[in-house]
Amino acid sequence: MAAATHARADTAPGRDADVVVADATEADLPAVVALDERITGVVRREFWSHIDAQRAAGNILTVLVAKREGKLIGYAMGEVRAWPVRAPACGWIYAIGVEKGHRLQRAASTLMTELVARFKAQGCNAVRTIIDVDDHLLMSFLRSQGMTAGPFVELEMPIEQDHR
Amino acid sequence: MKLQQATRYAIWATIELAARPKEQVRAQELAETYAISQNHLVRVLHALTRAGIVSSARGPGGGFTFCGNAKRLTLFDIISLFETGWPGNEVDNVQSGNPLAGELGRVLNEVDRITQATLRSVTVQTIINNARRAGRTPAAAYLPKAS
Repeated sequence: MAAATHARADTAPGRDADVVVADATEADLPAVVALDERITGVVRREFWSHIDAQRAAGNILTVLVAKREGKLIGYAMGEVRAWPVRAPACGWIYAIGVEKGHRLQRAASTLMTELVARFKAQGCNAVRTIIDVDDHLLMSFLRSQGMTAGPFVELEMPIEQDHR
Repeated sequence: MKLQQATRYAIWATIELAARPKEQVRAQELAETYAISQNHLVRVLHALTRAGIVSSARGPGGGFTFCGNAKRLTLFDIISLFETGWPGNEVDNVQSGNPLAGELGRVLNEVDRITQATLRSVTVQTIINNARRAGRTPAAAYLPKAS
């Protein structure tokens, strides 16, 4: 397990601004799922149960939490996996979020920095993610970290099921 | 994407001023930096002043200062001040009942949605930070390339 990463906020004077980022433990997961629900408005228990499935399959999944004064205020999840088309394996960011009221204090930046460091340590030379085209807030954060549009575009179409 | 001259000037001026916070910058200096018409630039700067993005001070030592929030102000915010009727709205075509026009409208809406997502998510501070990461000054980053 990597050492925890610390960040001190440059805003909100007077608050205890120390943020500690570290690997999530099993005990953190209920709070992570609850925070994810508050941020996204969606209960994603299946998404978070992906952690166990991936770990069982032997994949190195990184789940980080950010805490301030021991309280969980943010999370990030990602892993290194092969890209299906003509590109080497890269680091994928699956989720990143920080509790409202704790934003703009470098918690998300610290989570992102640590996640990218983990990808780099595994030999990756690129980080990718897929997000909702209308989620301008998250997109703005990721761009502020240096991410830009890549060479791939996500396309999709519905598949109509036959009903008997 | 083709932007009007005034829009391009507004983006350049905003980014240049935001990269030099609290500094009073004269319009003449900005115009010379980007090799653009000072008269046109002044009109754009006044529009930015009315929008609360920059402030101006008269007299010796006066000039224009960025007074917005660079971490929140996006390219879309600046562009929408100067580009009227943008982005395009193809809803009428989609609802016209003509299937070909409807499909074309759907494609154009797709383009608009992606363009808007990009412009709404790129802040002035992100432009400045990315230019610094790439080792460029904001002015040098947006100067037209010599032919």
